[in-house]
Amino acid sequence: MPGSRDSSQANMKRFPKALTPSGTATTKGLRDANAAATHQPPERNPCLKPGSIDHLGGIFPTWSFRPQCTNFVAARHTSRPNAERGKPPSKLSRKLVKPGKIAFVFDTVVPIMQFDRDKPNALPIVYAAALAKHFDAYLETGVRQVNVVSHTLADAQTRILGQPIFMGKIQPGSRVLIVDDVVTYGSTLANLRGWLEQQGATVVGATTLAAGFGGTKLALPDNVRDRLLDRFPRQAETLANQLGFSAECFTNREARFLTGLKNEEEMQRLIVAAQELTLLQVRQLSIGRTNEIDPPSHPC
Amino acid sequence: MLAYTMSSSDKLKLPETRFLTPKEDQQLTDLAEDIAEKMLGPDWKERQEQRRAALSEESVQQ
Repeated sequence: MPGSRDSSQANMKRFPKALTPSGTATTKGLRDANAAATHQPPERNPCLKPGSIDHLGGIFPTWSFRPQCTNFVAARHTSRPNAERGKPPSKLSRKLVKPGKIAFVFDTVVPIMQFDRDKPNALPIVYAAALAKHFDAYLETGVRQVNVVSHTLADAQTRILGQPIFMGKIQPGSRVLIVDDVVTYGSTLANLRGWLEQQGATVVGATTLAAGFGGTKLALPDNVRDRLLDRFPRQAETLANQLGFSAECFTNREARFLTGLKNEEEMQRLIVAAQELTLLQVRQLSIGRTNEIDPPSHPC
Repeated sequence: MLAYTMSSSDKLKLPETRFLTPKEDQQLTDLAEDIAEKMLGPDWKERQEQRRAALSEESVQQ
């Protein structure tokens, strides 16, 4: 329940212990483990709120995030233009994919399928296809980000306000590895996780080609959450609700940014902007700009 | 701790956001299918469907 912070909820927000990585670090071990994987029924997580389009979000477990290379290697790699145009198998994916580092048991790979400004981003798809091939996993291409918010070079407030919205079905019970090109604030990964788990899938991990400083620590540490709620006891929850989740569900970097705001006025401006943006998006949806894209289903 | 600064104006500039058009949605689908075909082989869709059926069956059994 948004706004409530009793201890039982604080415990619930943590990722279920049943999903702790199996420790199968080698490729062969992982393949074997994948073959023998048993499905754990997903537990309800208060950060995965079903509801309207703005009710998306979730925390991401720190342990399940393993960047595959040093920060921003992808941005510097000469093969990137080819990969962006979707020329697989690119040198980029071959050089950067280090499957041995992915120690999760998964059966489905879901790339972040999105438009970046005016063109589709091929990097996550190429990377995901490479992983799906290597691990003999299902490549899910039906889930996509349906709003276009350019996060490249965006500042923190733009990233927090412009939360990605996902649509598309996933097979319930799937054990999913989410794949993206870069993680910075973690909003995209967290929201996709929320969307998939809301449908009964289990997100066991995420991987990206590169990461911004501090981007790989996605889960919100208790001390950062407490600091945020001490500084902005009501506003933090209000902003989170406006964005579609609870304050417990901010990612680590989102929360750190908010904690560093100068005063309540700045926080209030963010809340007002979030309200305006929500109204704008609802209006865009209602006038049918997404003609042939089904609106999200509401399980509750 | 770093203090982040925000715009000094009273109202924040909203990020530009819009929804995918049907054409863009199709572009994403085409791109994904093109990449998958090149990387996973021309019969990737059939194999994917078989795998999905197996996953579904496994899920039902459990």
